[in-house]
Amino acid sequence: MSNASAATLAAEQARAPAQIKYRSQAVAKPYFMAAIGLFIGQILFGLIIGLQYVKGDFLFPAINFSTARMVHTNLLIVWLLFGFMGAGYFLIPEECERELYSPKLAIITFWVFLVAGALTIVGYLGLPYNVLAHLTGNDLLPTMGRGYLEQPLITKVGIVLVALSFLFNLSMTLLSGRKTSISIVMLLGLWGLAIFFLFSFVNPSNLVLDKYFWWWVVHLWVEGVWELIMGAMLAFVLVKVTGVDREIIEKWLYLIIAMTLITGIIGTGHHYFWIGTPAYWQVWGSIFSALEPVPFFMMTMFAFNMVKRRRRQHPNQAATLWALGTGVMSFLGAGVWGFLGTLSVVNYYTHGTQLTASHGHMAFYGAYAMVVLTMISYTMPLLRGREANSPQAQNVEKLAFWVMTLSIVGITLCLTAAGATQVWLQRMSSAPLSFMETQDHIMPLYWARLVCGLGFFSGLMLYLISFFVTGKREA
Amino acid sequence: MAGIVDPMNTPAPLTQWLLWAWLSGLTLLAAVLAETGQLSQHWLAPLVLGFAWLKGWVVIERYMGLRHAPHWLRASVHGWLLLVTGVLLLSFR
Amino acid sequence: MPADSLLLEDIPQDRHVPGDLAMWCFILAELAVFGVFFLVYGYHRWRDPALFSHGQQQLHLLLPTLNTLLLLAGSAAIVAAVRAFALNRQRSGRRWLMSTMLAGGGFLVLKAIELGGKFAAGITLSSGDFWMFYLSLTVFHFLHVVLGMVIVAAVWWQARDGRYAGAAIDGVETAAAYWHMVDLVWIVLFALIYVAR
Repeated sequence: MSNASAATLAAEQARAPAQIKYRSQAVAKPYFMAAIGLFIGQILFGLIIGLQYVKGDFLFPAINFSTARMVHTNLLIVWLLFGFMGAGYFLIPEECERELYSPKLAIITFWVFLVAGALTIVGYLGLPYNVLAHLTGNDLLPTMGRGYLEQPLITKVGIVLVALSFLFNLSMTLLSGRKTSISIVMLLGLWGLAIFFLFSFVNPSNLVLDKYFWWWVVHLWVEGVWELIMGAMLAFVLVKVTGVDREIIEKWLYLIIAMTLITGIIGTGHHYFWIGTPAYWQVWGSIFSALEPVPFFMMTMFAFNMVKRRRRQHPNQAATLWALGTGVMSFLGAGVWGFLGTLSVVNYYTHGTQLTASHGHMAFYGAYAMVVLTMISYTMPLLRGREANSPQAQNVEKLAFWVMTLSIVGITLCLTAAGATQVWLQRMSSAPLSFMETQDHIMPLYWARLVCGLGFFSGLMLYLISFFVTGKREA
Repeated sequence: MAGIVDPMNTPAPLTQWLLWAWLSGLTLLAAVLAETGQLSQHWLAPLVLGFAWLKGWVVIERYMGLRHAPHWLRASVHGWLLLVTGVLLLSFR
Repeated sequence: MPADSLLLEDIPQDRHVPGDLAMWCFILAELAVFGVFFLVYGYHRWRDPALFSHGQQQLHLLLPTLNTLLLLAGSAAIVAAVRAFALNRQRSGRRWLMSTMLAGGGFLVLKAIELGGKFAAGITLSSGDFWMFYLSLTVFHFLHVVLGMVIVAAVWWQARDGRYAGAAIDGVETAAAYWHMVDLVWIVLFALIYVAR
């Protein structure tokens, strides 16, 4: 570093903003609070189904397994969406160097989304699913009943309207502001998210075609456009906490999204192995998804290199920890555990076993939950009028990081062992056991998973507590 | 200084013509050998894969200019070429 | 500094990374994709040599041979372009870039004719393993030629604005590196699918 840039840095640090740069960024705060609230709900329902795995009649008939599972996965998606939206409302004004186009619209959108989400969950829990479907117009345009897309038609339409209002707001901000790679990639990802969601309205009666397009939402979200959002969020936080030149960080971002799109789009094929689609998907899906770990590995390298070469010591160390954790855990969860099931010759044995569930847990936590938590960790102190939380609060947050992360590793390992047992006893054995007989052999692992789940919940509670720890602020 | 390239790192005009003629010649030779069908597959496959390796070597060393590049980069691309042509050679039996 | 563009480990200054290091990471990743594809092809060919030989016999060599010559000429032209810009001969450099684009355009036209013939003959991805690989590999490579042309065109456009005056020719080298990668992959592809039968 030359003397001149050192001097600039020192000057920058002297007038380092103790709060947000643009007042309208404050609309991100309710989004993040809602995200955390729904996250807690998601984990509670996770504990319920974890317990139902071992005690099948727990809460029966009030909440049966399929309902609780639906709430668990839907809350996950909704809280991540709240997180992405909050991140968008914070990131875009800062990158564009202007106020949000309409803060009022952002607040209205927030309430609409929250109320619609809450009503949907109440509907899931309070009504039989078929009654809910009938009441909400599923007979007009059937879209319900598919994993992650169980929402009633009205809710789906609501999601589209919320997304449009959100994208309109951000796009108008971007159009008249400074355009950076980070903001453009972020908006591309968010537009992609909205566009691919439209395929949730495509529901052919042919079951093969139904599944075919279902993956256009599910796969092209999490292994496509969401990775753009994730890359942009990570890049944004890394620019802030490391002080590394934007030019370098943007180059990494481009590299990561190029690899994401090259591998991820055709990588959809790893979902098309045994469902009635043409045979060439076995080769395409295997080859392209074999390389899907590459962009995640780049993400890891990216985070560690930038932090290693940092040019300032940002007081918010918790945010840096979350950023590094995202790099590692997304590579392990999405990259490595994802790869375990994507070669067609392997998938032939592992399809639909607990191995898929193990990958799902670590990937969703490692990539998307953690990147939202990274963003919250960086922005929340600013939104509350300080550059970073007190060291005491950060210590609690870091502890929460470790408890949650190690718990998810525990859950993943239990489910991996469960999946391996399934493959061995039920599919590869010369005298294969039935599905339910196999489950009996897995029972101890389900108990262990439940214990890890409780660990995760306590980590989450610690995380919540970290927001209320005051302590002496760092000068 | 950023991005300054020593012109000596790039092949001189005469060398460029020779390299081009060599690469094109090998291509035509491979095509002729395959078309006339004089050689059995037993010999044709190793021969043309060998040609591909020779051509790739020239592209990597002289066109990409990796002979002036850091060793890890040069070795990675050469390694790729060797691996691919080598394994493909084994696939013909 | 180009070698430092990703802030990776320090690269000794006496070795020269041709173009942007980020591009080289991308090139290595692209080579990995093609590499895996080739290896899977090899595996399938090894399992069923008769099927693949039979398919290969039906391919005519004229168009692909011309295409190889075109790609090689494009590569040769872009080498000349790099040298011209390094010597600060702007006009000559731009002309060589244009030659590369012409060669690439010729490749795309011939390839489209070849593929069009196959489609007209009713060959699809489901016409057996050989045709599946043939179509997948050639179309995937075709898309890379298109991307290569876009990159070269972008550099040509910037060269018109004098971006590479004074021998600061990072961008030209970066584009050249990508083009050579596309060429390198084709060299293997040509031998593998068309000639080695």
